[in-house]
Amino acid sequence: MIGAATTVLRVDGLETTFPSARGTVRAVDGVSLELRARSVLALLGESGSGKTMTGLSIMRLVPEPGRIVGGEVWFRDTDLLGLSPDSMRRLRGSGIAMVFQNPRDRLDPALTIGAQLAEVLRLHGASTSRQAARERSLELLREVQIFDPERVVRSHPHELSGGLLQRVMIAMALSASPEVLIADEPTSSLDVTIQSEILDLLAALQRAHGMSVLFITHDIQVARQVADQVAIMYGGHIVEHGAASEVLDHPLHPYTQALLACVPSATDESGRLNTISGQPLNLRDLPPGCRFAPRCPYVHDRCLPAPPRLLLVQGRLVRCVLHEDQS
Amino acid sequence: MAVHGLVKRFHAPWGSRSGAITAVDGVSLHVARGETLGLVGESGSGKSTVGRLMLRVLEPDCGEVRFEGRDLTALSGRDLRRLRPRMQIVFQNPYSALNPRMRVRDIIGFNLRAAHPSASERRSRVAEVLQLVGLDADILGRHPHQLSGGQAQRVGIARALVSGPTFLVADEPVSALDLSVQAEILNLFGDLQRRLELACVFISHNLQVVRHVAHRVAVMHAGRIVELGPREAIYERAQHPYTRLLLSAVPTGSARAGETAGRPDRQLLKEELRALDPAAPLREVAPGHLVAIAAAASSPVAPGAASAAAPVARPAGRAQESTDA
Repeated sequence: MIGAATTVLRVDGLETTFPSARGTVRAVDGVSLELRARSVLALLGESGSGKTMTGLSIMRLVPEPGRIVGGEVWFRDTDLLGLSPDSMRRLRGSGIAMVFQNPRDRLDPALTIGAQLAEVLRLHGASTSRQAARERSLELLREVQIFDPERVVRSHPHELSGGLLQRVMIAMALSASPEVLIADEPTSSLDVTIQSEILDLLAALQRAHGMSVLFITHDIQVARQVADQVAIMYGGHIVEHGAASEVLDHPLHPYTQALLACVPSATDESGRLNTISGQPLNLRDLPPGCRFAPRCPYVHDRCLPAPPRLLLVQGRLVRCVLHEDQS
Repeated sequence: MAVHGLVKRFHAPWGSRSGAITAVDGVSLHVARGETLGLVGESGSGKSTVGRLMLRVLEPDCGEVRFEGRDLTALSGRDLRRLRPRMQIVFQNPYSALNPRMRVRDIIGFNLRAAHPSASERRSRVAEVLQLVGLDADILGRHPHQLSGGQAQRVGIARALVSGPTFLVADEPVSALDLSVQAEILNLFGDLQRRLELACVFISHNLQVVRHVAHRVAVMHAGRIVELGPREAIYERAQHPYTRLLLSAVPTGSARAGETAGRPDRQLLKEELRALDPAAPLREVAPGHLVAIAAAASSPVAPGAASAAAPVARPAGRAQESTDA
């Protein structure tokens, strides 16, 4: 795979499917990723590309009736897919933690923030006494730059803003000092000024704790801002995976190129936006070959019978026959 | 379309301590034929409420709404219904805005009911707008759940256009869409707006999107317009600290998070914003460019000066607010 830098999390050929009345939906279809130590990997894709399911599959939290049917997920020297449910439960939070898009849906509306933080701390076997749990909760909230933690621990979720709740979720995720943080659209439901604060906070925590972050997002600008590495997903496939600056400034895959051209620019207001021709993918009816072939301006006979392999091109991985002769 | 001095208060939710929430507090705006006004703000700024007040979907507590020379707030139900076909709205989430039990044909045709068309007139008008928004006739028999997000939003636009409106409110019309679909819909908006010479209010939290579609931009904060001006003025010469805060928060990708080089100090902007008189009236700083900063406190060049001048401006502003109310 790419480079030799220490890899904390390696996903290899991961496949997650959902049975449905009209055939199997291949939500995650042979996804391979490499998250290097102390770096941020952005998993970038549009809705239905499989990016969230990839994150949930790594955590082994795929909702019913979905099944992980193939591949490997290596966290350091452990294959997560081979772990017993108990060992996996112990690893969640302490090894790999996750932050979700809508914090309000993830917290119990009937309990105070303090009670929910204490519960998380107890689950990780850290603080046993109430006093110790309270002290540790306040400390965690201060770490996510909440300036009045005493008020926040007494509050119920409905009394706090979305930005504050997301900070609370991040505090919970950090409570057992995980090595890897999976952040699934952590700022997508927030206002733009709050979003930039949360992104700054995540970056600061990532550096302070030496964490590795898998940052799942649909927002190219956000990915550009946070990521060292980026992986682009389309139709359950990784289509391009490499250094963020290279992939986002000089995309090689036709889908990455087309997606980047759709961004309304902050500097150029005139003229029409580029669009991607054709219809978005129907996951129940995937083309047998390259997923992007029906919309690709460079489509070729070779794209149609089977999906192209991931090729190593100019130090990154690209799933496109256009680059076969360069690899 | 012009509104003047709009005020809208909502009763606070049951059991909360505050009495009433002033969602819109003295908003005045106008939109000319063939013009798109971008209305920008964060959640709770009152931007959607302004859109609904303009259409008199909500009744204002104060102020007037003039559409084609008539004051909508004074109209009777019947007169208002006669005007309705000429003022329409497009919503954020096309799936929840379209009746799931109706077919596309009936969803679009429903808005023609005021004109009592014959079956063939109705068919031809529906076919006409369908073509206008770039949809094929084969989707007419489908239900909303059978449409992609982009198709559903095109149906929402077709429904708004079928009755031949001259004024259109688009409330976050692309916020629920993927990037590639968003680009298509934005292009469509631009084309339609030019071809039909619509007066359009485009409500969005996304500054980059608004920059693409709007001729003029109004920035809302806490129920008030804090800055209003031509697009270039807002994006290149913004004066109000809130506008500058919003602009600075747009991820540009030029700087990694946490590295502040090359972007304004947001902490400083926030302090400046807190120090400002929230009730300062809009003041013209350049032709067509209005800013809600008291004259003495206006300082686009030296941001620090605003906080120094604010304590003087504050008591005067409070007094004015109480007379307004």
